[in-house]
Amino acid sequence: MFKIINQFFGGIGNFKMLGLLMFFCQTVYAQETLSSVLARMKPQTVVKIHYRETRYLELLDKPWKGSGYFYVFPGGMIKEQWYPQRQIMAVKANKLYYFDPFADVRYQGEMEGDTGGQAIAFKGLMAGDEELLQKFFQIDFYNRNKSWVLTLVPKQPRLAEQLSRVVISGAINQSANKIEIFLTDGDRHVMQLEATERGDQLNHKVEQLLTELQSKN
Amino acid sequence: MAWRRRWFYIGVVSLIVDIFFIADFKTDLSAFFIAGESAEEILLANEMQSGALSSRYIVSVSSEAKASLSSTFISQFKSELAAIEGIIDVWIPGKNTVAIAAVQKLYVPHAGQIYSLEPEFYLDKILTKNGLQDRAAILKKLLLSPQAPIIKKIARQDPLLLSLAGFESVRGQFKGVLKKDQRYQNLILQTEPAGLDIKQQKRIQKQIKKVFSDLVDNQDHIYSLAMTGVPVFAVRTQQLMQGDITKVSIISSVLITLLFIWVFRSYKTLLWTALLMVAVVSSAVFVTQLVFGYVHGITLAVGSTLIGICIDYPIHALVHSQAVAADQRTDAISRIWPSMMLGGLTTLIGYVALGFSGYPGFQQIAVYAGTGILVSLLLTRYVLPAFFGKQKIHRPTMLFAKTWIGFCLRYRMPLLIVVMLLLGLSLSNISKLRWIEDMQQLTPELDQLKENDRMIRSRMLSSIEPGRFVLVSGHDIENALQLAEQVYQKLNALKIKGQLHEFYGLYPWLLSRKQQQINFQTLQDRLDEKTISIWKKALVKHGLSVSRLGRLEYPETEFLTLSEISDSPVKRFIENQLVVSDQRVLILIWLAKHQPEALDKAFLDIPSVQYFSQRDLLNRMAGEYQQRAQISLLIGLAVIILLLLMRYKNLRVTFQTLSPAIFAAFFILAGWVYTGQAVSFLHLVGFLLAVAICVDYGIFYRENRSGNIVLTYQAMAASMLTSSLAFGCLAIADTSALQTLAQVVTLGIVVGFLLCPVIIHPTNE
Repeated sequence: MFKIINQFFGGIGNFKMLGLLMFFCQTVYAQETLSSVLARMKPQTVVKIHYRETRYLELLDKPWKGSGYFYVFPGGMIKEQWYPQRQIMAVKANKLYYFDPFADVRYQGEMEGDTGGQAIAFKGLMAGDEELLQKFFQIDFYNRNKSWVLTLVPKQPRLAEQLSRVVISGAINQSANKIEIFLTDGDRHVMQLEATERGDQLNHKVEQLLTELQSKN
Repeated sequence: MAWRRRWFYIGVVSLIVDIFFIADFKTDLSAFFIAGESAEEILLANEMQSGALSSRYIVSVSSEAKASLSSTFISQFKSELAAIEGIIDVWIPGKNTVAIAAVQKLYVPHAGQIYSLEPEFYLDKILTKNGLQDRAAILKKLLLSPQAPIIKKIARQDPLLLSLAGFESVRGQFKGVLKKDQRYQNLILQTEPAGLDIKQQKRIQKQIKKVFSDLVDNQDHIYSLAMTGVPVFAVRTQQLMQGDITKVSIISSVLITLLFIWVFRSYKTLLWTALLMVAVVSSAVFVTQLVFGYVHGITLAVGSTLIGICIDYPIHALVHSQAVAADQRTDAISRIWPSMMLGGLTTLIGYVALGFSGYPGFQQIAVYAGTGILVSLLLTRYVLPAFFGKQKIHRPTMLFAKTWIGFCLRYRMPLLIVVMLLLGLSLSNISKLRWIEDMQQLTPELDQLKENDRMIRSRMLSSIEPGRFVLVSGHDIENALQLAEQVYQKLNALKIKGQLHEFYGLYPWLLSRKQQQINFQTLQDRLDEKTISIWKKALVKHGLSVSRLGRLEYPETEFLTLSEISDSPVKRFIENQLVVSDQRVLILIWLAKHQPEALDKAFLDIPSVQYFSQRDLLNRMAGEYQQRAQISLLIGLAVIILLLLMRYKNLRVTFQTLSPAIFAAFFILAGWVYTGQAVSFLHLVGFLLAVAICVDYGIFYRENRSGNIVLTYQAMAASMLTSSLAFGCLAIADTSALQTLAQVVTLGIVVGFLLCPVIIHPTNE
């Protein structure tokens, strides 16, 4: 499962970002507990979020940059990368979708819950399932000055082999605006997030992207 | 006489006790029917019976509706299957995360040794300015791709990604998986018990079905389950055989008992004869166990007919002894003893010839039956008189025999003319006899399983043609791998010619040490400073780290060995292609769609390599069995004729004695010609048995040692009824081999018996 998630979500960073973006469409209040934040996790409408991603990789001389949009909606989300090349990936209900138009590589399948701690964590976040998150991650949630910070540290050795920790942060009473993923080999992915639009008018775009992902050709 | 009875009881009890402790009963049908000629065939036959492939299932789940299968369901099913005791591995073909990780771990350290089978050609392609630019571009793309976590690990040790070079074909197979039909899913299960460990496999199959039905019941799916593999066939065959043995044994025992009671109207006589038969069967089992180390189920099933033959001698003796005064009974038996001995010997010859017919299991039957016949003859002569003493027993009348012999004696000449005309007619058509050429037709009872197997395998995305492969045989693994590498070149040439679509060898999973050494040396020679400098420029151009990736160091490591692979999860990719024994190593190179003739021709110049088709092998074996059965039949007949000649010292008498059996056989053959039934070597085997048994009647009738031909014929009738009943009972078996024997032998015995008074002119009339 772990490899599949990696395959379809651009590696550990992208996948984690997708999951954690569920925070972004919610407003988090200071002094709130994790449970109360998670209770409001499910988005009520479509939220379009612009992202800028930077990967600091040991094997690259310069950091790599990418950007695009997330579409978070009740029951799922889509990542549409525009720069440097278009790619689409999505999670809807229990299903994973991936499409790389340049390489013409396409996949769709259901998420399996037997081996992938990440998938379980992702499902936990989407559903606001604290129990599930507690099972797989050491969770640290705190307020600092005018911001809140949530840190997830994998408990499972297999997941911990690659993923060191994930830090999600945002301003008080604001959605998350930054996700940092720290890998065990020293590589780091940072994602800056900014909500640009929300509302049912985005339903059509979501449908269009899902159709493109699910297309047989 | 009392001491004989005592020793007899002691002997029987000790035999039964011995059997209880030492007998090992087996039901593996392939061991009974399949054997190889060459070392390779024997090794393959063993592999089919107990190798890794034999203990593997393909389990297929399909959705009855048009909807796709839920992969959550498949995932749960997979986990629960893995939890079944005895199942050591479960995986979805082409989707194996553990193995992918293991590939990276296992092959990257050997990157400089395993990258190609044509290193010069390969390096010419990539170690150019453009080639290295392309490689750097690919590396960057992969480092930013979904495969990044694996690629990072590989690139640190192998910046040129040489370790991935050989896996292009494997990637192609995985790519096919993504485009699969979502309405079904195949899973592969590896079990710890051997495929022919029926007890364990039966339990595993039961649990697989239970796990599936529980899951389906708990969820709202309309899914169905099918499975195939050697264990499925083995369990079904064993069930068939067990059912047959039980059915045939019970029914034939009951019918022979009833027949016996009807003939002799005496429970005491029944008891004596039953005791003799217990002794006969125990001795036969005991001797078979001693000779072969085990007793096969089919030996017991076919051997149950032995009772029908062995009981002939005591019956014959009983009928004759009841025709004389009580004090002359032993003498009466002594008088007919030479005829019985000769009859017994001819039957024995039939069974011995059967042993040489080619079926490995028939050797057992020959020993089993031979022992039974000899013991029965000896017990009839020396123990039976000790039982019946002076007791009066009902003398069987056998009205039908009396009527038939009366009719024949009266109209012998016209009847003889009719028989000769029929014989002429039969002989004129015998050349039209149709032979079964496909051995698969010998087991129609497994047709449903075969169809199921075909259906499940068609769902496998691999294009491998089942049962057809190139077989490479080496005296050790290195030798076999070197030969296989020659074969890959030839197969590639066939691919270019369009005569082969694809092949699946051991490369890239395993290479010979020789090839690994060549690869390493070629790479070292080509990685000069100039090349490294071009590579560094390419890295800079693509923004890749020169300090991390620029060194191109491929140090010499230990060769990649089979044992290394065997200790890793990668072994599952090659274990169905390798058969390793102390003396020989076989490599099976699987083939996709191909032209068999082209493949056959391609390897004529390499003696240890051959294009192999399991089906052709089985059919060739059937052909060999048929030839051997024909030769056995001829040798058997020749020995019987020789024996009769030695006894009668007269060719005409010998021929006359033999004629009912031979004529009966010809009539049966003609019957098959007219009904259009195709015959196999099994029919010939039955034919041989029928002749061997029928000759007894010819001898009894010819010698007529009681001096009363009607009495002799009545005794023969009693024997014929038990024999034909015993063989006839095989017709209720589900195994078609047994049905064939039933048909041929029963018909042969009855017709031969009826022909005796028409053809033979008895002495002592």
